[in-house]
Amino acid sequence: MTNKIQTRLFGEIEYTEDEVVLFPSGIIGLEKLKRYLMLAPDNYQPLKFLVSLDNPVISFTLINPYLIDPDYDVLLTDSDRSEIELADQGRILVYTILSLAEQPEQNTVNMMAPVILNPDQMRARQIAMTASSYSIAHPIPLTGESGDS
Amino acid sequence: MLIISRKKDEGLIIGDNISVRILDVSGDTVKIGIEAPRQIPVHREEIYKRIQEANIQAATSPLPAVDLLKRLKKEPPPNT
Repeated sequence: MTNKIQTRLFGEIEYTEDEVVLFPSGIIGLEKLKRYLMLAPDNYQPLKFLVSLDNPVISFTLINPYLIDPDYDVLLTDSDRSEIELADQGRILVYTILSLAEQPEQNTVNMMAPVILNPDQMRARQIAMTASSYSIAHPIPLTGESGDS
Repeated sequence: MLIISRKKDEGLIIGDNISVRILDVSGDTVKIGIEAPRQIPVHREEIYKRIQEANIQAATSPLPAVDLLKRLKKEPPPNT
């Protein structure tokens, strides 16, 4: 069965229940919002979007952290693994949240608190690596100059 | 809130498996030792709150500008 939701960024979107990503603990600071859709519009590659189904005003812009830091390292605890029902040999996808500013040079990415997704169970969690040296507001490396085509 | 006074080298046991000990007191700095199972996260409060604030701010971001998309690196190593 297809459901519909009116989103702030992308207008009306159709989705099915098997596309819903569950965050059992929510996103840090937005703990009550647990159900999200992950969207990957072609014209916004390589970015992806998490849109809340519980409050469609809320959405996050995601980037693959390995684009920012090829040596990026995520440490999962046992409770992280159990919350996303990760099997012993299971795979995860890792995303980091962009904070968008007026000037592209001022955009930052939160490398301290990535989102980990178990695509086989569609369960995800944001982990807070507060003991790491990763930055909450890491500058995004950009190529070329503003206005280049 | 439960409030308990402790001296240096005194501690607390929370539940079955968390112990908190006052290691040192110097001026307005208290050094605390925490023993907890690995699956119990321990965060510095002000850093955790900064993550909350960053998320709340990011949650209502506009769509990214075309200029940003053009200038992002496109070819990530495999996401593992």
